[in-house]
Formats: sequence, C-alpha cells, structure tokens
Amino acid sequence: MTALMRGRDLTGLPVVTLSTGEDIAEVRDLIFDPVRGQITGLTLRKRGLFGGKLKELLAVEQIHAIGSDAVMIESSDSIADPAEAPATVADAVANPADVADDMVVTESGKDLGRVRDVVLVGGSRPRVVGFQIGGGAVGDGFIPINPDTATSANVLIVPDDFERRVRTEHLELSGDLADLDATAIESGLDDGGPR
Amino acid sequence: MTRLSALIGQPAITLADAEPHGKIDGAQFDGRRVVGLRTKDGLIETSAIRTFEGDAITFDGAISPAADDADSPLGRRVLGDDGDERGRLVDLDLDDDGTITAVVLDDGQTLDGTALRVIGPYAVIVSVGPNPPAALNAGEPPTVADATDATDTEDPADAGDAPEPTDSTGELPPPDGEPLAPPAPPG
Repeated sequence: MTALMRGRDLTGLPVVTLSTGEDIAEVRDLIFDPVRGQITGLTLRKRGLFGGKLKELLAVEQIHAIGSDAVMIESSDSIADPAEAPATVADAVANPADVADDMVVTESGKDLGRVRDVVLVGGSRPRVVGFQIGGGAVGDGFIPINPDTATSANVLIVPDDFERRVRTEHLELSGDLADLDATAIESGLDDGGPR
Repeated sequence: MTRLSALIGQPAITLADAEPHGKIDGAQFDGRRVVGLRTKDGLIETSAIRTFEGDAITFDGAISPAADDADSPLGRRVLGDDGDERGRLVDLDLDDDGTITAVVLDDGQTLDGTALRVIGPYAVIVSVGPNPPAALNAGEPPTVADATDATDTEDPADAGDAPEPTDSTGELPPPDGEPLAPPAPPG
C-alpha cells in the first residue's frame, strides 16, 4: 500500500541526498498546478526551526521518492535555481496558485464545502489524487481529482455525483489518511472515479 | 569478522614505538567500506591496521587528519531510499578488509551489506527498491545499553576519550552476540 499524505504533511520533511546521506534542506511548501492537477515541485528552506527560505526549487522530476520521513533526491545538484528550473516549476512559483479555501461546487450548483488541502500519493511517482474538503453541507471528506473537474482561481466545479461520494465512500478521509488504500482510490480514478 | 561496536573504545597503539594514541571513537567510510578509524589524534587508515581481531588496534605508519564527519554512526537513523525510516543503526559487521557485510537495526533486523547505499552525517541509507534488502535475520531486538560501558575498559587517565553518543538518545546498544568486556581491574 502506498501512503496517502496531505500537502501539509510534507512541510518540514528533510530533503536527503542518496549520494551523501546529508539533509541539505527541508520542504517549505508544495508547488501545485491546478490546471494540470499535479505537483510540479517543492519549495525549500534551510533545516532547523529558524531556517530561512532557500531560493532553490526542487522539480518533481528530480525527486527520487517522497516517504513518510524524508524526501529523497540523488544529490545537491537535483535542486535548482528558479532561473534554471523547468518552466512549469518556475511559472508556478512566479504565479502561485493556492487552492486552499477554494469553493467546491457541483455542476448543479450545490456547495460541497471548501478545499482544506491537496491529497497526494508519495513514493517514486508522487502525484495529487484529490482534495480534502470540509465546512460544507456534506461534511468533511475527500473528492478525487477528475479530468472533468473545472477549476478557476477560487472555485472547483465537480460532477453532481461527487456529492454522494463525499457522503459515503470517502467520509473516512476526515479521519486518518494513512488508513486509506491509495491503490483503491487510484483504480477508482482510472475508470472515472469511485462509485 | 568483527563489529564496529567492538572496535569503538579500543586503544590505538603504533607498532614501531608502542605509542598510545587514545581510543577509537569513530570511523571514516567510503561507500560500503571502512577506510579508517578515528582517535583523538586523527585517522588511522584501515590498510595500516594489523588486525581487527585483537583487544587493541595496532598499526604501522602515521596518523592523518580526520574528516569532520568521521564520527561513530552507531545510533544514527536508517532511511530507506523510499524516504521511510527503517530504524536506528545498532551495528555494522565488517570483514577483514573493512567491507561492511551486514547492517544491524534496532528492531533486531540484520540487512545484507549490499543494501547499504551510504553512511551519511544525517542518515544511513539503504536500498529498498523493487528488491528490498534481504533480512539476514529477524531476531529479537538487541538490548539497549550504553556501549561506552561495554568498551570503556582502559586506564582511567584516558577516560576522557570515551566515545561521544552521536544521537540525541545518547544510547548505543552493545554488539549482538559479543561478550561484554570485564571491568577494569582496580589500580
């Protein structure tokens, strides 16, 4: 089973090099591209309580693995100055898109709540699989990323049947994300989302 | 075969003039190999050491300056290359030329030395990829104790050279299966 994580769970994780076993930075924030619905990279800061912001970025392609205890990269060469980072990463940093607190509305106009966080699968191919939502009529829960999800700067529009999904299959997401089987969620996504 | 914990605390003595150089308190690694043992005087290259099997490290040649990170890795966190912590390092099995043949974790598991990627200042990293490291055993976890007690058998005047704990726990388990050294005789 691959562990599911919230975006906020990444903050503070050490970034460790496989070549030297050093912790060269820690995760400051996740760079999320809402249009593609995927992680493009991570912003970093120096290690320690009062570690300052690092200008270097870590593109998702340079990540060897995201685990529960560390983000693994090959070497310090894996982090890059924004000027040298892939365009998708540099653009996302220059124009940050924070989906937190975005409104989630069904196609029929029902307010399902607000985005609390992105939910991702770690491992060697880290990717966002959905959003943790809360504060709406259907209660706290999870909605999967879906190709039909329309996004703007502040709103996610989802198919009508997502209301039922939040109410039923994914209510447990309001509890411990670690209890969920990421494989099941992803297989549901593969055929159009969980039923 | 010997274990790193059995070497930590041993006195280092030059063969030519029987000059003591303090106790072994760390090691320098190159990949899967111990290339030197550190004392307060510096680094003794593995190639200069007569044998790992004695009660003291006797060696030919000079001591060179030790790298800053040539301390003891015992007690250090062990990370899989998937970013999940596997536990803490309890010991390393070494063959006669200093090659690491096994990695002993605090949960009692022993990994084949070929799984070792690097011994770094933050973490010891092991491969878990598509072929997870073979567990040579899955025995009971080693008893946690202060390794300095197990190795501190030398003269009181040299007590200041006792190895420093490298981890916030300050505790280093004794070598699995290795007898504890007898207490120092009075006087």
